[in-house]
Amino acid sequence: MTRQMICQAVAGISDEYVAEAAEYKAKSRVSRKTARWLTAAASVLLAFGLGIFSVWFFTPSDMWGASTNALQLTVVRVDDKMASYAFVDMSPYEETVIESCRGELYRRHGDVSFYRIKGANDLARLIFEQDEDLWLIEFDSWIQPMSSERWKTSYWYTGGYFTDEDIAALDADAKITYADTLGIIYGVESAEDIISVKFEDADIDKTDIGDSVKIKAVTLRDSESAQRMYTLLCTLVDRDGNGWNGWVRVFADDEEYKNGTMPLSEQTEREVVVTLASGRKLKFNYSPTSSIIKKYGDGFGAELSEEDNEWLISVAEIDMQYHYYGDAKNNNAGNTAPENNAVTAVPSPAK
Amino acid sequence: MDDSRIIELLFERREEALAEIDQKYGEICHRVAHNILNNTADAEECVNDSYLGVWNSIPPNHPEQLLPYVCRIVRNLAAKRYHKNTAQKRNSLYDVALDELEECLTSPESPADDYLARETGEHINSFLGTLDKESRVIFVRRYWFSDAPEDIAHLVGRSKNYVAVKLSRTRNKLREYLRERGVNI
Repeated sequence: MTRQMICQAVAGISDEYVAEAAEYKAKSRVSRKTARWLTAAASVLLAFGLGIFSVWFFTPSDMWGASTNALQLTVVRVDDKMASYAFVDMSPYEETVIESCRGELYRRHGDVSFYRIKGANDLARLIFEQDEDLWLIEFDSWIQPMSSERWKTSYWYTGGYFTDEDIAALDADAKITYADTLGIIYGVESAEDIISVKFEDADIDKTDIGDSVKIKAVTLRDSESAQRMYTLLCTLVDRDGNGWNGWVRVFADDEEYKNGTMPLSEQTEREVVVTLASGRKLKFNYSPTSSIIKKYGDGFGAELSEEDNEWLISVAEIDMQYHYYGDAKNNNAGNTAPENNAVTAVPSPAK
Repeated sequence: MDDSRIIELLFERREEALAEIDQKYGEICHRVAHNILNNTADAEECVNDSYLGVWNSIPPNHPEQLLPYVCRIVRNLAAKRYHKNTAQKRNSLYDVALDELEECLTSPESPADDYLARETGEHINSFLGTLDKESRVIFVRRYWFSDAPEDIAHLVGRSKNYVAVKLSRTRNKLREYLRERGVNI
């Protein structure tokens, strides 16, 4: 068949289908931004009405090296809570093997089904099926608990996505902490499921001054550290719905650095990578001067207790002393000698 | 203005009907023409010729749906101009879309006749009836409108990857569908 004939064959597509395609409008999908707005709105409602608010957004592992699509989210009932999952941009290889990775049915909502990954004991990733098509999805966050009445006004319910039974199974008063994420989503039952905790360069260089700050990567593999980290993570509760709130950063052109009262953030901040027995890696940003640990990327964070903050500073071997690395204006990065300036004590972490 | 009123204006030979068509469907007409011709000036000319085609064909024709009727004229004129102008230069979205379909519709033994094209067209229509709406829209936007996958992704609110995968799977299904019906491709 020649190209011209193909063109002719396709030209024969009926008016009905041409009109349908020309006038098509996508069903409203809930974007991450919208989901956050909904979460925020629900949170405000709950904060005023019930005085209860806690939520966790969390970026799951990058174990497979794939990225999730922030614009495509789906929701899955996980026990008595609702979780938001993002679609993973699959590689051609993953598309080829996804069928063989499909494990047991986990949940069915309307005409879509969610399957576990064969051999995986956690819910970090699931396989989503609709119209016989399979997609890989990855845990993104918890949906803020809300009442059945409120759920029944949601996009998912009105779109026929959930049954009344699903809604009835939800706990409107659930208090979500990071322990839920660790336990339910990642299958972490105890500190034994934590293999290592690595502290490395947070890679936040704003100026080339930051390039001259040498960070020593530290990896903890002992059971005592794993236990301490596990306990620390389990107690985390989102502080205010915005992990950056209260986050203090000092760059080379800031007065605090110039006048020697605070060290550069390039020196003190760390990326924390918690490797689980399943092979998944949980990534966080940690600011000892702000005393906040937050999910990797943008999103939510939790305030650390003074004791936990001091422990992290200690085990990560973070140098909290002030050092002069050069003047951003003069661009003389590389002058790393502390003796160029008086070493001063850093103020206590901001509260 | 609704389509039936525009058609009435055409039957009354009132030129404002064309202005109404341009206002209502001009954007998608230009898109169809540009996707095929990959040239703004040619596309503009093609759309204007299409409006003339609408003027000359209504009456006597009385289409049930004006939008596909106008789009079809645009597409036919654009394709005709494309085949006349080109063949050597294959750089439009239309080329890329045809290349994709060629993979599932072409075989060395294909008898080259119009009958086959028509028969295949009918099978494509019935095949489209077996798809869910979103898959069908994605297919038609890609192969009838020659829209780029990223534009379709925007239209259906999905990722480009999603659209690409959907198209690939739909093409495979189409190949099977035609094979099962003994279509000699």
